[in-house]
Amino acid sequence: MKDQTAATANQMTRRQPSAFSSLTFWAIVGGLAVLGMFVDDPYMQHVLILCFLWAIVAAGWDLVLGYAGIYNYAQLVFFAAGAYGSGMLAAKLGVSPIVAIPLGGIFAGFMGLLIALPCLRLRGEYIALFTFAVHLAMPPLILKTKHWGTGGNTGLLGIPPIDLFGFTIGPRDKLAWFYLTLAVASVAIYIIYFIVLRRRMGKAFVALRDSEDFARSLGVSDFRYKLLAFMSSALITGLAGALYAHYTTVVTPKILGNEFFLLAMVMLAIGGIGRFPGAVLGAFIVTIANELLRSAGNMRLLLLGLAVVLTVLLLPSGIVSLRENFQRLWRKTRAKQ
Amino acid sequence: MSEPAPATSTNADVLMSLNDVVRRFGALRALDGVTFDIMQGEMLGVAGPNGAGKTTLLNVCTGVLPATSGHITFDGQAIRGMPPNQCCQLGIARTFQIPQIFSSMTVRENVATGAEFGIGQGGGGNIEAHVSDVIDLVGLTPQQSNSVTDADLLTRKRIMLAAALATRPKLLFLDEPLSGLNADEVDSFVALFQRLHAALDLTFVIVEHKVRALADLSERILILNFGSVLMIDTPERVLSDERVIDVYLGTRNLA
Ligand SMILES: Nc1ncnc2c1ncn2[C@@H]1O[C@H](COP(=O)(O)OP(=O)(O)OP(=O)(O)O)[C@@H](O)[C@H]1O
Ligand SMILES: [Mg+2]
Repeated sequence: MKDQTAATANQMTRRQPSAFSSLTFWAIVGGLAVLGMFVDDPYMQHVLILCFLWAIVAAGWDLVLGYAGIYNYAQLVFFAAGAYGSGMLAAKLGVSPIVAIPLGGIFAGFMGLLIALPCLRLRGEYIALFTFAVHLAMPPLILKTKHWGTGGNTGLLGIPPIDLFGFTIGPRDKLAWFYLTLAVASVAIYIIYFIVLRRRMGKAFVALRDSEDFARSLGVSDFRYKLLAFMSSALITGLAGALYAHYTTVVTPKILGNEFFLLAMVMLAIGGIGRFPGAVLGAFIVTIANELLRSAGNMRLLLLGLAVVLTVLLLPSGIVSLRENFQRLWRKTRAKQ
Repeated sequence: MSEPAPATSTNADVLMSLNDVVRRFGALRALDGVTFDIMQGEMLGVAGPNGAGKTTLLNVCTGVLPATSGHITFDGQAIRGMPPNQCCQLGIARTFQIPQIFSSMTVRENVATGAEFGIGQGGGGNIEAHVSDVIDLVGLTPQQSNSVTDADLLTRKRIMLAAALATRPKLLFLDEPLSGLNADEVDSFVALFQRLHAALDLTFVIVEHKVRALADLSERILILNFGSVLMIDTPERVLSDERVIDVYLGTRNLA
């Protein structure tokens, strides 16, 4: 399983720089910003806001899973840490959301450190088991710490809206949220894919993923870079969680439930890991499909599951490989003529 | 070459020194009290039966595995318990018995990883030029921008060697660098090692089952048997030694 993931992840990283320039990236962000001016249906605005938030989560997960090759399944724990951290600071201690949101991200980064430390002593599949166990342990922990103000099962209520220089961005101010989440998502995604992964740190991640022994023998510190992978991924995901908390004004343990976890998995599976823009694309596709399927009720998860099975069977490296497959097909048919 | 080569010495040009090094795996003593010195600038061959502990010896000398007990010093500094990345930055490099490679990178990126992460403090300078030099020295220049996924065994071994050299090592361990190569390829690799040895200020430790090639390359050969040093001496003496023929050479023809 490990080799396969690495092999698929590989082909992508190699072609990535030429396939997607930062100019293309900002052009798309600009396009979305223009789109924001024409979308005035609050529900559609809401779906796009969710797309942006999920894009951050998917990108953060892709960083650690797709590029660093670490089987971390506790990604939503970081989302929850950011959401609860920022929400509790603002709702219980009266900290301004503008300050609480970054603090939520930092708290998630600290959780990343705590979870990473035991993982440094584990290998491959055991990291998956350990991190998933941490994920499963979170909801009961939130219930048990109800007296600390987590809100238990009912959830953390009354999280205040963002107050920016006298402007209040409440849950109804969808357009403001649209631009806020778009801005944070594009900066976060840019930092991950165009800065972190293309510099020394990204090279170390990929080297450790491809061959840990070889990388270490060449001076790459697995200790340092695995910690950095976990912590940077957790920090960015925690920011998305914190934004989510102030957007919805409520956080419940449901964000650690099966549905959210499955959605996130499906995003990476459909989009393709370790090859930009796969995970981000997957976040958009799955968030929109999930909304379109709302009327399908219980069938929704089944249909999403089916979508994963089909992509894994037909497009093992995700939707992002479609382009290459077409190119290959095109060359073949031309060669035959 | 008529003077007996001592196992240890108090000489100032000792590069790495092992003293009573033990490495256990459960009840098995894969290294059982190994003591010898690696001299500055030498080519030291290491041979011995399968499972004798040769790879374990390399792992312990390069920080991959901690020694259970004993002392290892490199350049006068104790390195026992140091992780491999730190050993690398001190100047200890290695290649692997099973070729390792970064499969998502180009040939050049593989080599550059060694230069970017492996060069210790004060070893900076022009990294790109250094990478080009190493690639050229190992003979990979024509393929340098290729992806490594289609690389054959010989190319993979060259890449692994080049990446190790790119870290600017003082001491280079090679684990069976000639295995799987045909006679011509063995000759070209032996010539390459000799070229590297002459061109760079580098000490080699070469683990190899191809004893003929090892004898051509090495100034001394160490025979490891059941985790202990059976003997360490010039190739002529080692290859004609009764005990060595008995435990190792007797079972194979001198290929
Ligand atoms: N990580 C490990 N865990 C347990 N036992 C090990 C481990 N590594 C090596 N051994 C055992 O230690 C002994 C020495 O192994 P080692 O790989 O060092 O031999 P070698 O001399 O390199 O052999 P070969 O010529 O086959 O490469 C063997 O019995 C091997 O099974
Ligand atoms: Mg071996």
